[in-house]
Amino acid sequence: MAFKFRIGNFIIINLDKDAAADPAYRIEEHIERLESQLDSKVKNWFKNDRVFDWLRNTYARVALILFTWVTLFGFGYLAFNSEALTFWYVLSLVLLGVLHQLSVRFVFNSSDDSWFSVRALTIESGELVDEYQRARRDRAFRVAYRNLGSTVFALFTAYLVYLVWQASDVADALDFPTVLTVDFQLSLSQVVVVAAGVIGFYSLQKYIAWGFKGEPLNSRNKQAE
Amino acid sequence: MTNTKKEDKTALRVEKLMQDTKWEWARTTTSLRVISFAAIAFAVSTPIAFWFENIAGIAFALILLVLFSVLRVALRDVADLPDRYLDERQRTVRNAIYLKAYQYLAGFFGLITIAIFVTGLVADVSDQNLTVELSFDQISALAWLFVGPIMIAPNVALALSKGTK
Repeated sequence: MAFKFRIGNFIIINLDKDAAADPAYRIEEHIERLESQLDSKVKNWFKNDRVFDWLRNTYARVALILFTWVTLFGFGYLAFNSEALTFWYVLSLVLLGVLHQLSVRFVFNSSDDSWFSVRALTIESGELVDEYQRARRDRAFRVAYRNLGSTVFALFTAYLVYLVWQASDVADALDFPTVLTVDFQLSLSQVVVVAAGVIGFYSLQKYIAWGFKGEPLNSRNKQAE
Repeated sequence: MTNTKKEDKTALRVEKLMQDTKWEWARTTTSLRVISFAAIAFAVSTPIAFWFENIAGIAFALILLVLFSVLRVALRDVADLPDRYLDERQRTVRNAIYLKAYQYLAGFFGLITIAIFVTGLVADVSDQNLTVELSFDQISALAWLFVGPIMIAPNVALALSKGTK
């Protein structure tokens, strides 16, 4: 028989041999041990993983960011004009998202404090992100917000200037177009490309705003050696 | 050398801004709320004004810019200053607000994406081209539909969160 009593802040649990031999108790204990091991393994992997270090140094980050812009707009343009590339465009954007997440050690996934608690693990998001990463992540959100705003403003301004330039060219003097006809003649694959491009553009913006600076190529211990 | 000069200039501006008492009237809870709601109202009405009349749109946009500037001064430019000029509390509040602002903006883009997708799908299914005729003013209206809210959102959120504390 097991019993439990409390003296002040101390809880005393006494188990007799029968309770310890109880299969249900042993299974529970085993599960708890497994859970704790899994938690610590996940935590350890997030913080200390070295397998994907090739994605985390400064050179890799520069390449990754350049590759992101080229994919978003360059490959996007090609996919817009060729139906065969639609699937590959969407896949490359998904792949880029994964590579960016690995590159920044998933810091943006834990921006919401409740993120991990809903995934049956007992890890607090704060445990995975250190002070430096948190400061950099917060700055990245700010920069990403401004970048998105500036891009929207720049695109509209460029479009308006283009319209005025076109109308002025026709009229041989500064002229504002009176009526603009927007003709949506998009195929389904083009719609998919545009939608994926827009989603990719704002989803990847925070990773771009994280910046070029990556982790050192060698750990401090290796550098000391 | 140039950077140091620029930093000195910024430091001087921040010091002036942090010690400013001229705009105290705008820093009360009620004033911040009034200015914020006025800014929201003008951010919503500017595209509508542009849609119907270019001159009215320009006037509304100018009022919005004035309200935005007053809000920035009233909040001592906390939303835009570099981290080193802010204390721990100001940084925390600002970070939380930018995170929310980014998430809302992403949601807004998400809605647009869905709209593009549905429009394209409907046009494809019915095998018709969707033709929209827009005037230059209406294009300006569309631009202000994005620019106004994006411009004021962090400062308004900061002002309203300050007002509720």
